[in-house]
Amino acid sequence: MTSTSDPDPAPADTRPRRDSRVPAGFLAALLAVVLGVGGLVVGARDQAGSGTTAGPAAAAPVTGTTVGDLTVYDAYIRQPASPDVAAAYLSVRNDGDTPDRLSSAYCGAATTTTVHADSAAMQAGQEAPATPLAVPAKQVAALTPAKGHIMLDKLTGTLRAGDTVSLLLRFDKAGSVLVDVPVIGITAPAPGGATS
Amino acid sequence: MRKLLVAAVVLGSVALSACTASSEAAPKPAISAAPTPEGTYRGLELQLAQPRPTFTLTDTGGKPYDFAARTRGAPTLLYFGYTHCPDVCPTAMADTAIALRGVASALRDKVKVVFVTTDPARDTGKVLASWLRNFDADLPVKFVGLTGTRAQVEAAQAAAKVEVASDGGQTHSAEELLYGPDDYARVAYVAGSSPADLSHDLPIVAG
Repeated sequence: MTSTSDPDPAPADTRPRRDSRVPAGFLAALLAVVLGVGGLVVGARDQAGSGTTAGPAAAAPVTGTTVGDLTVYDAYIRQPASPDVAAAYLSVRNDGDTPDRLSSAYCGAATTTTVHADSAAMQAGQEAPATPLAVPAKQVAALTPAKGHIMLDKLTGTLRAGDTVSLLLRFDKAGSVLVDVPVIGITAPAPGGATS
Repeated sequence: MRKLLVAAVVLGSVALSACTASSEAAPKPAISAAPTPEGTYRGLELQLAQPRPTFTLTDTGGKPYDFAARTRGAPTLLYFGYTHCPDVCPTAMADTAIALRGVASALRDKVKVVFVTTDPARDTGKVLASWLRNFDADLPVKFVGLTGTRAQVEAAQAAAKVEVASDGGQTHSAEELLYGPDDYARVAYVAGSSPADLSHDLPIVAG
């Protein structure tokens, strides 16, 4: 499992396994999109690629949605067993020199959407009050099961594996970004190799 | 809130005295209570082997379910949680389902999985059944969902010696206890355990 605060190279390491299940045509299209997006954020990519970055954020490029110095990747929602509540998980890589924070989120599929990044409370089985996710400079921060999630409460409809949900993330410094989040099967492996 | 806390504290002390009482009263066959060598399990090893608890709750069909009698001698996973839980509870049940797929069918068919709600006000039998079917749909053994009055589910938690849930069941023990055929639990799975940990340990516990 990935950790909320510790640097974690796992997503980069396990990426080929995930991609190998994706049809080649889709992969090519995806690559084109990524390259296209990369072109828009040349500054950030150059920083990451030129070796000026230190720490885990420099380990490998990731495929995701970029906003400012941040890249959001491996986002997913597990198909909820409850008709009322679901959780979204994701990783955020900060290629910049300044720390940022995922302070809130909005999702049309839920009546209320809250960020819960208090892993200590969660591991004690508590549903803690909303807590933002810190994304330190040059680091990867992740919301992973039992350590943090974005809670989608009072779902407005049914979420099933194969659906895609738009999730608006609000970062303190980088601003807001809309991420397309896939809904995966209830016992399916998570993107990026997280155990569940 | 204050009342809840008091109730939890009182129950906590009940749990403690029950602990003392049952460890004195429990049968002590040298073999079953013997500590296992360290490093045997990948789950969280319990410092003291816990005897299979005795409690009767209501199953999803509305019938009484005597936990000790119905599960005696079978490898049994016992978890306390609630269905309106976004993360830890469904993860525990999904991991259990994944782990069961990873063990030999002869063993898998023997394992019993029991989920006791900590939120009986919302988790009716119907709600529990529909929630659990998400996890066991493709498994031969169906997960058992149990509910009762708040006092009953709290007594069940005390009997199992887990921390009694508070805040309407939302703050609850995140331990999934694994009892062996000798009716003792020596290992538990917590948030952070992986399905591979459980599928590694199941054959060892089942003997």
